[in-house]
Amino acid sequence: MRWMGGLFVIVAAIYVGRLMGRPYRRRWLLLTTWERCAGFLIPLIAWHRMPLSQALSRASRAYPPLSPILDRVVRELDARESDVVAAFRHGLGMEPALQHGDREVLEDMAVKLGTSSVEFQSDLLRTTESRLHQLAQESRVVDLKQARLLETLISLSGVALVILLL
Amino acid sequence: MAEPWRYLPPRWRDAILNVDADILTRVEEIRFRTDVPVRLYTDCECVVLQHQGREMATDAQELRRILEVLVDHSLYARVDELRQGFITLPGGHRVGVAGRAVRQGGEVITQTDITGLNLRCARVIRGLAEPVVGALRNRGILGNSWLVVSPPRAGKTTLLRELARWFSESGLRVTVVDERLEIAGLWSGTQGFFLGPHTDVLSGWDKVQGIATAVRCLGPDLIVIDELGGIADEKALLSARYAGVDILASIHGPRAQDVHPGSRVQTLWDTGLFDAVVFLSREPRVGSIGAIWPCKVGEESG
Repeated sequence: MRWMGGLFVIVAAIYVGRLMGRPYRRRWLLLTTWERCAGFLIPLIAWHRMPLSQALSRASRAYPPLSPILDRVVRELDARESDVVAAFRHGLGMEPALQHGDREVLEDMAVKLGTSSVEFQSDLLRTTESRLHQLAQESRVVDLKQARLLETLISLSGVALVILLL
Repeated sequence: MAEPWRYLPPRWRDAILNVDADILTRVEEIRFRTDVPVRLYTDCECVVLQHQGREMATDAQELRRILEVLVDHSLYARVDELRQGFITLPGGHRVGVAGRAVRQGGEVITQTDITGLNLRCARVIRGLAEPVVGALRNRGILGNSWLVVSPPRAGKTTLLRELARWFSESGLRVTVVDERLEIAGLWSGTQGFFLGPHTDVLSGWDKVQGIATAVRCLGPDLIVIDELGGIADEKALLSARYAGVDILASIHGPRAQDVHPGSRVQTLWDTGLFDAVVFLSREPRVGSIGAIWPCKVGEESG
C-alpha cells in the first residue's frame, strides 16, 4: 500500500511538473508553427493569389496548433465586420502562452497583410518568418530550459517527498 | 446569385437591405463618394440612402475600409483590376473605383486616396437574345459575327451574356474571353451566370491572348468578348475571323445617328470584320435595339 502511495505521489509530481512547464513548451511550439505558417502562406499569396481568408483557412488545416486562432480570424474576415488587425488581435487573445513581443510581431504582420501587391506581401511574410525564427530560437534556449528545469525540480520534489514518507 | 451589397460591411449592407424592396429590385448602381450621401440609382430615379431617418455618407477612411472588405482584405489578388479602375465581385457585379493613380515607369500600378466607389449590379434579363437574333435574321443577316454598340448602362454585357447562352444552347461551341470577369461572373471556379452547355470561359485573360488561346486550344465556333479595345484587339479579331471563327463583341459608342466618320465604330464597320453592327438603346427599356447596320462589305458586294 505504501509503495502504491509512493508511486502515485511520483506520478502526480511528474504530471504537475509537465503541467507547470506546458506554457513554456507551448510558446516554443506556437512560435515554430507560426514561423512555418508564414512560409506556407508565401506561395498561396504570391503564386496562387488566394484570398486571405482562404489562405488562412488552408493554413489552419495544415497547422493544427494554430487552428483555434486562424479559424477565428477567418470567421471574422468572412463576416466582413472587422479588419485584419482586429481579427488577429482577437484570435491571438485566445492564446495566453504567447508573450507581448510575440504578439507584436504577429500584429505587425497583420497590419500590412493583404494591403499591398504580391511582391510586398512576400517580403512581409519572409521578414515575419525570420523574426519568428529568431523568437523561436530564443524560446528554444530560454523557455524549453525553463520547462525542463520546472519539470525536473517538481518531479524530484515528488521523489524526495516519497523518500521522506517512506 | 447574391446581390452586390451582400459583400459590403454589415453597416452598409443592413442599411441597403432596409430600402424599399421595389427600389431594391430596380437598383442599377450604388454610388459611394467622399463626404456625400450614398445614392442608389434605379432606371428612372435616384434615392439617397438613409438609416433611421438620417442620410448616410462616407468619408475617405470609410471608403478605404469598404474597398478593403470588397476585395476580401486581399488587395494583392486584385491589383491588376484596381489599376484598370474596377474590381469585380462574385456574380459579375462590377465596382468602379475612383482614386488617385500611382504611377511607376509611366504606367498606373495601383490607385490610392479613393474618393468614389460605384457598385454596378449585374442582372440577367431572360429573353433578351431572341428579339435581337430575330431582327438580324429578318434583315437577311445570316452570319454570327456582330458588334454590339451602346453608351454605358444600356445593357451591352447583359445582351452578350444572353447571346452567348442562346448560341450555346443552339449547339454552337462558344468561348467567352472574360477579361473583366463580368460576363460569366466566374468566382473560385464557379460560374455566376449559366452561359449554356457548350460554353468555355477564359476568365481574366486579356483579349489578345485570350482570342489566340481560344482559337488554338478550344476550337470555338464563336468567340464572345466585351468592351473592345485598341488596334491590338482588332488584329486579334481579324486573325480569329481568318481562322473561320465568328466574333461577338461589344464596344462603347453613341447612337447610330451620332456616329462620326472616322470614329472607332465607323472604322470597325468599314473593316467588314462583323456581319452586323447592333446599336442598343436604353429606351424604351435597357437592351432595346436602336438600329442595325448590316455588313458594309457584304452590302457592297451583294
